Amino acid sequence: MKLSELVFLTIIFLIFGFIDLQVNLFLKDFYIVSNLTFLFLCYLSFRNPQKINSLFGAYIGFLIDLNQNVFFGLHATLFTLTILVINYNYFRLRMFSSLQITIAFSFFAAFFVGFKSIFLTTMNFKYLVVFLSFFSAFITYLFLPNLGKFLIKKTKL
Amino acid sequence: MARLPDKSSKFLLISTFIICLSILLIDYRLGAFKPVQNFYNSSSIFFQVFSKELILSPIYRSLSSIRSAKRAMEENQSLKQELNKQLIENYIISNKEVLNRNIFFDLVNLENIKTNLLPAKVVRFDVNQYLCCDKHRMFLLPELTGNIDSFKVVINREGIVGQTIKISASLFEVILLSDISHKIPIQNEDGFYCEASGLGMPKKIFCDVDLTLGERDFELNQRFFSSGLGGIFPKGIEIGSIYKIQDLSSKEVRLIIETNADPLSSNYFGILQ
Repeated sequence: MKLSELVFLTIIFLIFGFIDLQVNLFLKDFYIVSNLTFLFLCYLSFRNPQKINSLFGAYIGFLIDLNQNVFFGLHATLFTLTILVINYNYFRLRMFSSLQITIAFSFFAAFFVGFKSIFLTTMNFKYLVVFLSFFSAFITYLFLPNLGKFLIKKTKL
Repeated sequence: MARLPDKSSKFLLISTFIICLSILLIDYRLGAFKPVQNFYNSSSIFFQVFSKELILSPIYRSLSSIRSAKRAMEENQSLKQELNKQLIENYIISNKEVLNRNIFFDLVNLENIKTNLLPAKVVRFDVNQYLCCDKHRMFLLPELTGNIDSFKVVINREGIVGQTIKISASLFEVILLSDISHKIPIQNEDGFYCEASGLGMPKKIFCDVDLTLGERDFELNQRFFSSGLGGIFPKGIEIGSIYKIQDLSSKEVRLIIETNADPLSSNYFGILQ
């Protein structure tokens, strides 16, 4: 990956992280968590697994950990794990239809939300948040590939 | 064995994951990366303040064409700040006796003890994290130069908000009462003492009460005060009232207390020196 692409993707991920935080403020009362950053990473990793490797996932994860002041390595671990799972099941996922991929990534997002909740909201863990996040991720991922294509149009990703 | 996409290294994938997981566990168990996060936070806050004060504000001022509107806005801003400071001072004055009555103080010379208040302004408060998660922290910048140590009481016009954790000479973190790792010794008017922990929800702390130790009567809206034990918080300050009573078992109840002070209510805080 070129340096310019890395900087470009870093900025995009930071913007998505910021959007997630702002959206979550409004969605909190409905027990929904926005996962734009995570789903975008899933999309990129599935689109180009050679370039979006686990090192990139760790780098973006650590950056988000610092930015959101959460346990250092939380996002990095989950991002690298997701990339690992996508890579290991790459050819299986390639055979899936768009709807099946959306459902698969929504499951990943629900796991991501659940795991994060265990660490960050230990005292107030709610299964409803995990459950509803699956649906929110499903709806988000219906639109995300188009947004992703538009954003990385000029890069070679 | 699963087949990987071309050029993907199995070793790289697994080793990166294991390294990240180890870092997470080390930070979770030992907090080893706290200095890194502090450094990042203080640098980004410095950058924010620097860019706001020295770059954005002058540009904004130069672009502002209507002088009177600008002056009115500044005046409005300064009046707001003054009002906030005044409200905190009023709180201090109305609670002067109890604020001074720390268990280590000499009760005879009560009038001679001066409560030093250092005003400070919020520079970073992650509201999202405050509303969703267990970690309830904010970063304050003191208005006056002064050495602020850890474990100083932070108040706003409604009451005690939390206590300080020193990061550098000019920046400190405040751990709020509702933070999951915060504890405050409290008591009610009937002489029941407990150590309340943060619940990880906004304005909520809790006490677990073992009913086998004696008969206790609790009711909703019963008021709780700081007990002064531990020597950090002054004795007798109203902390909040019972919001909910949960039965944990037949022999144990959890009192959920809603604190009086809302950290979202103002941008100005006072630190009791």
